[in-house]
Amino acid sequence: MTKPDLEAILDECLHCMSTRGESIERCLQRYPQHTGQLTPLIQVADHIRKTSHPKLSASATKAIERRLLKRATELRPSRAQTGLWPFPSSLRPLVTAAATLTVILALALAGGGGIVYASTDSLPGSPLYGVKRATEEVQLFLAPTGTRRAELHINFAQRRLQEVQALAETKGKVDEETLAAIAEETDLALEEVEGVQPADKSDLLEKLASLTERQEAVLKEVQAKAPEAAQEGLNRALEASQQGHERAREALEKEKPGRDVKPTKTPKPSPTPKPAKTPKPAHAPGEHGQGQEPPSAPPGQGHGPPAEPPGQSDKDHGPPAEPPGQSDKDHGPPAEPPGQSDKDHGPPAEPQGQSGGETLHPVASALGKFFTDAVGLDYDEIMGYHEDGMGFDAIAQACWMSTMLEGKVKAGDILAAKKSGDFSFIDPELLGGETPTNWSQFRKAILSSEKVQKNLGAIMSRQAGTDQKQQKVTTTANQSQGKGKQGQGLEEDGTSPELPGKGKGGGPTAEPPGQGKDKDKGNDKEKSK
Amino acid sequence: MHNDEPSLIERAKRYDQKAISELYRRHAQSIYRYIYYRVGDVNVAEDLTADVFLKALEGLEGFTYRGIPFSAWLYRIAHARVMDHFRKQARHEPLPLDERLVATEKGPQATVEAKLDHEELQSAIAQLTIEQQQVIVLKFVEGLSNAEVARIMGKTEGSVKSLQHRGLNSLQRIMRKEE
Repeated sequence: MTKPDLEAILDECLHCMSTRGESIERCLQRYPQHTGQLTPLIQVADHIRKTSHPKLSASATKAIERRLLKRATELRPSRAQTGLWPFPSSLRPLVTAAATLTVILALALAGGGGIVYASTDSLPGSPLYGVKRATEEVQLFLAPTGTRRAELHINFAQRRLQEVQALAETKGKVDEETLAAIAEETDLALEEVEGVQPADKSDLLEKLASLTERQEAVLKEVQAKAPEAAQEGLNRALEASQQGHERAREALEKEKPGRDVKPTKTPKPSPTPKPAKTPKPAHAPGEHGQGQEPPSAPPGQGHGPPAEPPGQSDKDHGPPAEPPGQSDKDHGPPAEPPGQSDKDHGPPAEPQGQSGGETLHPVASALGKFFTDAVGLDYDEIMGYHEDGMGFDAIAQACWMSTMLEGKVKAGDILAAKKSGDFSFIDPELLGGETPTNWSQFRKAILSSEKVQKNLGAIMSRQAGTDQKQQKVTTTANQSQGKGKQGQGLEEDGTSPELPGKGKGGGPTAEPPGQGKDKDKGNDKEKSK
Repeated sequence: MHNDEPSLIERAKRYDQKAISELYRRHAQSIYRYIYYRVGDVNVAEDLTADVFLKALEGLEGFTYRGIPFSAWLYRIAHARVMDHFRKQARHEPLPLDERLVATEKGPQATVEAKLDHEELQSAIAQLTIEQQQVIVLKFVEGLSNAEVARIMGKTEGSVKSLQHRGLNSLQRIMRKEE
């Protein structure tokens, strides 16, 4: 009996006792030969479980709570007073929402815009850096598979490393948060890799082993020239890289037992390129995830108002760095796509036809949450279109187009037209007088339509308005909008942004989900309910 | 995790006092126990618990759900604070127990009497390595699963099982020695 076997048996017994209430004797009946070794260990575990554990006293609980609330009061105004966040604090969610929407629109409608492109080379502290990070979030949000997400996290870890290096070289500065983000992205990549298909696992792990080795080399280089104040943060980052390297190698060894997985095959010993000189567009080919179209709009063709750097002030005022392991997940991106924050948490607060406990596709779930009210496409229908071969990007585009057309053309119909190539059923007046003959023309017509541009502005204002309402800050922004604008805002649970096409206040009537090609799916949904 | 935790966090990010209080009250006891068993001093544990929640509040704006629960995030901060405390106390990670313990005469089947209160238990846990302490407290005091512990510690479940085995082995030797 090897040690790992004994560890596994011990764990099994402990698990049976805690979850099934089995007795020690019963657990050990299955392994009589180990009774002598395991009994005292299980008794210790059992003893700890049964010990009466200490409690934080009521007075201490209250005292800490008072300190916490006092600090919260101090923090609230300080964000607006920093001067680095160029808006009043009450507008923060508004601007963040607008920036996030801009990024989503740029990606969904044009495959990348000028802002996104311009942000590619930005460094922490620069005005466009927030857009860069938000763009990454959208990429993750749209990534359809664990493999793709792992690849993205690897790319992002590499970017953070480049940023640390570039900042150190050009400004002699070491950014703690970017340092922490290296470990965070590496950690997330390792977590994603655990769940990917075996066929992809080895390649990803080799990339990670190589990446972490590179991290160590670059960080040591930076550390050699860094000021004393930055040494501790660099030490933590180095430690995290070494741990990441170890984890990647361990996992690789499991995948390919007996094989020499020492990272001797590091593919690129060349120095890390400086981001400032990187000429590539925001997204490498294929970086939008499977099933998505390549960007079709040239850089510079951004849509919507210019994005403010979402959460920019976070970058400059982030929480103090924590020792290894602590900062790993603390500092998320500056802005999240709508619904993004729920993607790892099972069913959304307001179930949309999906049964509880079922594993939801995070992208479909987020799209469903965001678009159900606006265009009448819910989770089940989105998954139905996806299973019919539609990429999530196409579905997102159709939803946005339908939204911009105030729901007068259903997202489902737009998708059906995309598939059939027949756009003749759409009122030409909505599209500037011409009937498109293909998807590209249709999209171009939508984007160039004056009416649509006007609606786009309304959407942005309205989305911002939802955050205002969520924040319970009185706003009059919605009052100045056109028809179908009354009553916008989140539901009490904060889950349903309301967009044109299906306003709660009586905007244009949207047909029930399942119209057009998806009638059957709509029925299925009813059945499932 | 409570279903409403994501929305509470969103509200707390906007410094909603009720949300902050609710989040704090849900997790205060767990974090306190975790810290207490690591440092063994009620006053220090209270101070560090306060530090953890203050740090969390200050960093909350950047927190996003990306596969790690809020409680796990708090445990990570707690671990960091504990390590800071140890550093300030100029303590060092204990030597592996195998090097410190003297073998006892008792047979392997000797039972461990359930007589230690939490102070004695803490004193025994404090003699484990840092990682063993984490695993033992998170698994048997806090009742977390291997997967949850692995995520908090940034380790594989296999490593957690291994640390659990070594930790329990060391604890039973310490307890027998102290009897």
